[in-house]
Amino acid sequence: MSRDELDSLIARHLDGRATEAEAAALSRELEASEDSRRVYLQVARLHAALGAEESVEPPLPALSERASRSPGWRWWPLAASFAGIVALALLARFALPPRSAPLETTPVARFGGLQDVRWVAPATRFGPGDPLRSGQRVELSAGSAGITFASGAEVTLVGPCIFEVTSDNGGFLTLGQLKAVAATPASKGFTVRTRTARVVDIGTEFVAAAAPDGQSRVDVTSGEVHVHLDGASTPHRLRTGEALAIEAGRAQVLVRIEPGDGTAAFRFPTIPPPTDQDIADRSRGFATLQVVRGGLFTTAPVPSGPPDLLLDGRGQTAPDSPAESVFFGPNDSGALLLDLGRAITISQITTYSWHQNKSVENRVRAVQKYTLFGYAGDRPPVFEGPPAESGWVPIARVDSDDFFRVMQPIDRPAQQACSITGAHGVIGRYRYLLWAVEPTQSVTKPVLDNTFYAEFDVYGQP
Amino acid sequence: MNGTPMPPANDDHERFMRLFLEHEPAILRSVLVFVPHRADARDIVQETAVALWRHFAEYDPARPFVNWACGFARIEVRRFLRRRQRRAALSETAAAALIESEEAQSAWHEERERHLADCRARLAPEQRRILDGYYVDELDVNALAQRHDRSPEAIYKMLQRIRHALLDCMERKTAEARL
Repeated sequence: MSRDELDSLIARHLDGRATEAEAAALSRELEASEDSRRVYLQVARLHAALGAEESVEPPLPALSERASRSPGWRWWPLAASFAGIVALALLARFALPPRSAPLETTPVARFGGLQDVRWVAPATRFGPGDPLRSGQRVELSAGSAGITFASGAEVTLVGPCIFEVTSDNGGFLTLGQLKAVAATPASKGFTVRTRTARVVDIGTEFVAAAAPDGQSRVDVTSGEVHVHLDGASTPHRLRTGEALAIEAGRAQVLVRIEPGDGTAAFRFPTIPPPTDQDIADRSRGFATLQVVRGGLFTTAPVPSGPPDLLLDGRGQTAPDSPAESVFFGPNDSGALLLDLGRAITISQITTYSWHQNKSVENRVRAVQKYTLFGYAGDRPPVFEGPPAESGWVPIARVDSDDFFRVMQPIDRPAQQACSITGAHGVIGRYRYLLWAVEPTQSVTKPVLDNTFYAEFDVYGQP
Repeated sequence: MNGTPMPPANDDHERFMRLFLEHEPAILRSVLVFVPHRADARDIVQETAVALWRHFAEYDPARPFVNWACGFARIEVRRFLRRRQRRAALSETAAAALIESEEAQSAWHEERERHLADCRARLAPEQRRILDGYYVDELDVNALAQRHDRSPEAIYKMLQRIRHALLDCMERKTAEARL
């Protein structure tokens, strides 16, 4: 290979333009030639130095109100788990908002009421009425802090929370939860950005949340909100009472859960009812479903139906119908494996559940609580241990009680549909889907608490 | 290194966070050499962080953290390339050969890279704007093309020329320093 060809291939590879054939040609050259490896390393190390050096700079210089430059480790105690620790460490580097212009002197917002506030940097001294300028970050470890923007928009941060004021009508939520009220004419279009979404308030009130691992969530309390996702041309419109969760990652997976009309017709506001027209329906003869961890409830007189009931295109005909439902044993977590028979480019996955106890007001078995994984190859990874460590690709986490903000068991909808989609139309290409299903109520009390799943539908193209 | 993890004690959280944050730029940099796409490289650093945390109890503080961490990063790079799903990438064999060469050549490269900041400062203003747009603001080439009123292909060519100009400058300064 000539030097010009090598230079060109290396440049195309570094800039993400190499085709499979070009990457293969470059690989062969690098495997064979020490000189070519030296040339590659020279350019690639330069590319890495330029790419890593700047992308990890702290976002902004400290302000007088901030005690210090506040490195990420200051808020490590907020994390309860190792995943949280790692996520926080990475957030400190990667999840910070884009670097802003130098701080302006004119305040664009002011603090309102502060309640039981504890700042991340103990020396921070903010009081009601104190000005906030564009680019200024507020780091709250506990309590709540009100901020009034110049546009009239009002935001309440709930600790732990990291929020940057980016203009007189918007900000960037790195971590935590905020409530926004945009009731004045000037505040129409109030915008909250997270790592995964841009939330624009068209109406009056919404709640936005950003988890340490990048998951974002929007709940519309009143009015209408448009959720813009990177690279998507049209926004997702959410109206009063609606919510959307967005998983971080390239596919930007969206989770939407809706309450049903509580009839055998399984009608939902926007999610279609169970169907036998999906690609996983057993009538098509490709897909199979089996239990690969845990065990379905088998005790008479109310044993679970067989797993492939979930592929029969139908929901239950009654709200407490064990024979038409699939459920694990008391207090038992488990895993269901769907083999689609070949790799499918999946656009949507919907799961349905229905349960209303006949004798007591109890809908505990309507909850949908699972983590969904996928795998594209022909032989699935093992099922023991955490799936993500065995090669399973995490797709989405679903907890419908959390989604519906359930406080009392009876608050939750008895009939639920969960729709998982990709922000850009595709979730990914997978042959296998693995549902790691959790018991719904208690991990300590052996109660009958496992969800009555009705149907799993998968939409996509081979 | 991938055996049964030994969970670190809670007291180690802060120590780990300090060390990881201090050395994370170097870890990211080491990954970008083999996996140049920044989002992919960050995913690998995230996997590396998880592995480091799991094995943190085994870390010997007498050794440089960055060397220990980059060893894990290389494992994650190879694991990533084995799985490669997202876009065209180097073969795992090529990456393994590069890792070996890099270890042998590191002093040679480091000698040149000491002059990077100086050489970067000498770029023409438009070259620096394009370089900063690409590497600092993380704009894609189409956005850069719009910003500079050029075609995307012209921007790619400019990036390649700028990188070569930097390498030539670093080479020249290395030779001068030896005199």
